[in-house]
Amino acid sequence: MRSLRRALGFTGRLVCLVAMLPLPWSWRAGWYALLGRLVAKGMDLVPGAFTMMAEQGAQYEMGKSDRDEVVSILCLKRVVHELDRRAAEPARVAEAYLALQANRTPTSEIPKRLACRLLGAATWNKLSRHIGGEL
Amino acid sequence: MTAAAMRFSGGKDSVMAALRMAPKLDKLDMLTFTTRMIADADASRRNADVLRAMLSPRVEVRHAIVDIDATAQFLYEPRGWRDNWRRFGSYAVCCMCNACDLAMIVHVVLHCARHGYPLAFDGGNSTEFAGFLDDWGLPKIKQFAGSYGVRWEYPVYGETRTDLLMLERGLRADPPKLLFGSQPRCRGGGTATNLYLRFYYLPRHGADDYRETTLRWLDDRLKLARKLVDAHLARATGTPDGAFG
Repeated sequence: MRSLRRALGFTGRLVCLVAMLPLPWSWRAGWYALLGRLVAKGMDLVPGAFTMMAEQGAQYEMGKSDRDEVVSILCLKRVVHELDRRAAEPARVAEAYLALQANRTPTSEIPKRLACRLLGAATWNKLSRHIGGEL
Repeated sequence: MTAAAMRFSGGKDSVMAALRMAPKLDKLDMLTFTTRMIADADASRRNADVLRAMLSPRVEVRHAIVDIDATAQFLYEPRGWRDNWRRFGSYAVCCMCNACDLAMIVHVVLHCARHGYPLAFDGGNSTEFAGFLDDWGLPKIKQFAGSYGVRWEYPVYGETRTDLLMLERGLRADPPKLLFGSQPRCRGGGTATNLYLRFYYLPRHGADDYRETTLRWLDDRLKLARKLVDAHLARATGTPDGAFG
């Protein structure tokens, strides 16, 4: 975690130094687009990056600050996209979701339980890889 | 019943905001904004179509994609790089999100003022990390919109799980629908702002300084935004954003 923080800290300062330059609007857009692509790739590959974001949110009293909630939001997004990609029957999803609600499943657990029920544990592990929701 | 315009990305917050406000409306114009920093504005059409299907015929729902690159650029750097630096240091140079957000708000207010709509809203949410869309910034936006006779609301500001609310709303519909966010992608301006704030500005200056500087920036830019809106409203014909003629 410390090396991740150091790496992101270095990236942050580098971004800052380049962004501080008097760049034309189009150059700035180009630089940010490149940066955005690299960071998106990095966030997918580096375990713990998302949870670190939540910790920082709490530190500065801004944004999403609950680690479980951040993980759950990201996982639910992947699970629902996967269900849509597989053309899952909404009525079947509704049945599974409402059953979880009836059992008072904590909201942070819903993506995992929904995925395990409708997509299987192996798919869940694949979808939640690097976010921190693995079984 | 009333007519309203909203800042619509097609993501979970704006979709839930539209669903929350719908019972009060008979007409809703959903404006999706694009700049050269935004990719795939067409992604918003998916949920615009879903909402149209869910809300019509009771609510007349219209959707338009509007290019606001010139406004965002103007609000980002109205008097040039040197002036930005002199007034706000690296903050105004590095934070793109503020200019982008404010440009969208300006265009929604303008749209409402042009069409005589008394209400505007968006999916502004307390769980966003950067920008002025926070408890301390929202009153200024409401005041700005109010000065043009537009009431600005934030129907999902306090919700932390709009993704679950949206999913549930869709699954409880008849017939059930799989609802999820489908929105344009920020190419990297948001990433840059986030990295700058998390790893440079906030560790160096702290959250209090951040709030103070953001409010100072907002006051400065709202004066310019007012001039922009007034100038457009003074023109006799046409809408500056081109939405719905």
